[in-house]
Amino acid sequence: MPSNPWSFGCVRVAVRPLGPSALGSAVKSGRLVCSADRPETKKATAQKATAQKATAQKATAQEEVIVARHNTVDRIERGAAAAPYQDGILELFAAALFLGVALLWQGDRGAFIPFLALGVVFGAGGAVAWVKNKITYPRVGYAEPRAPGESPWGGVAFLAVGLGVVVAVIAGTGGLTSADSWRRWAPFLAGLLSSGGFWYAAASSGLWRYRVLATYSIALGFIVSLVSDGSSYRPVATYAIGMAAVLAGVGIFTLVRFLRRHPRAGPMVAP
Amino acid sequence: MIEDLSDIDRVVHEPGRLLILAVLRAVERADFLFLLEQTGLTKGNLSSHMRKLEAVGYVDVEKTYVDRIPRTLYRLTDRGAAAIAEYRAQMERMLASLS
Repeated sequence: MPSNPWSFGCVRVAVRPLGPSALGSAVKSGRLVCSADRPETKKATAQKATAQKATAQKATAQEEVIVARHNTVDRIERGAAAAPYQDGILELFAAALFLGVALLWQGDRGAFIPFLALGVVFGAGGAVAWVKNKITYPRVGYAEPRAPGESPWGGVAFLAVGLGVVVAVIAGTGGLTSADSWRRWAPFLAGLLSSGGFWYAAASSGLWRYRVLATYSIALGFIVSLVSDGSSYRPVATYAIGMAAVLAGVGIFTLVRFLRRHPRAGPMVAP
Repeated sequence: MIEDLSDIDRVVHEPGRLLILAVLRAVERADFLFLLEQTGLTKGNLSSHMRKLEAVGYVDVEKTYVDRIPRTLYRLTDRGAAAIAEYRAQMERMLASLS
């Protein structure tokens, strides 16, 4: 038994009801045993340490199970890269854009399309962020997608090859000086240019649906051009409606699936 | 190859932290809820791992507000990216030596 009972935690509990002198006599007489001196307490401390160790081991084991379930680090990275695109909101905005283009083109208001483009450039980012703040981030958290690691020259090369293909097709079908030929192949050009955005999303997210949409965009543009007679630019509106319909379908399906899978979670702050 | 085993970065080698670093490698930056969703760890575990990763300089933490709601954003630092790349290289060397 130590001479100074104040050095143990048990004193703090005992000091108020007993007072210092009464406490000293209580300790000497054996009526009060400091918990630090009890042999069974040492055992309890050892048990507590064992329990803590077991809990830590269990937590590590659970984490190992989580890692094993994810299978590989590559798969974890792929899942995380695809996560910001899992809500379908990008597709719905793209559908609205194509619908706007189609309506302006169909109503002979093609001159307004540059204004629509400016609206997209300066306003779409903010609008998408606002919707995601309301729907996506409270459910699955916020993540900024990482830009694809490829050099910007990849995009330039894609554009150059696309334009080259369209020019070659126009030159091969009606000649570069033929206005009818340019009108005829305008949807194909639109399809190629639009596919660039989907290829970018595919490279950033690794999701196959953007590759399918990019291929669909090129194929739709080509088919619409093929059946067009080149008398007007109206087939561009047909192409835009075809894109808007598919994008709206994909967007709605993806959004509904996302909302079902992810009920609204709590605040986005670390504890 | 046994030197590789002794030199292994234990901060990265821990399964939970490896999971977090892999997620952060795939995105520019992410908040706590996103990491929670992606890793499947508990709040307490994730919080403790994030503190360790921040302490060794593998992760940058930024506290912001969106619509007056606090948001804690995490970003993998260059040091963290280098650590995970080195860890991967070490593991590959070790696995190659076993086969």
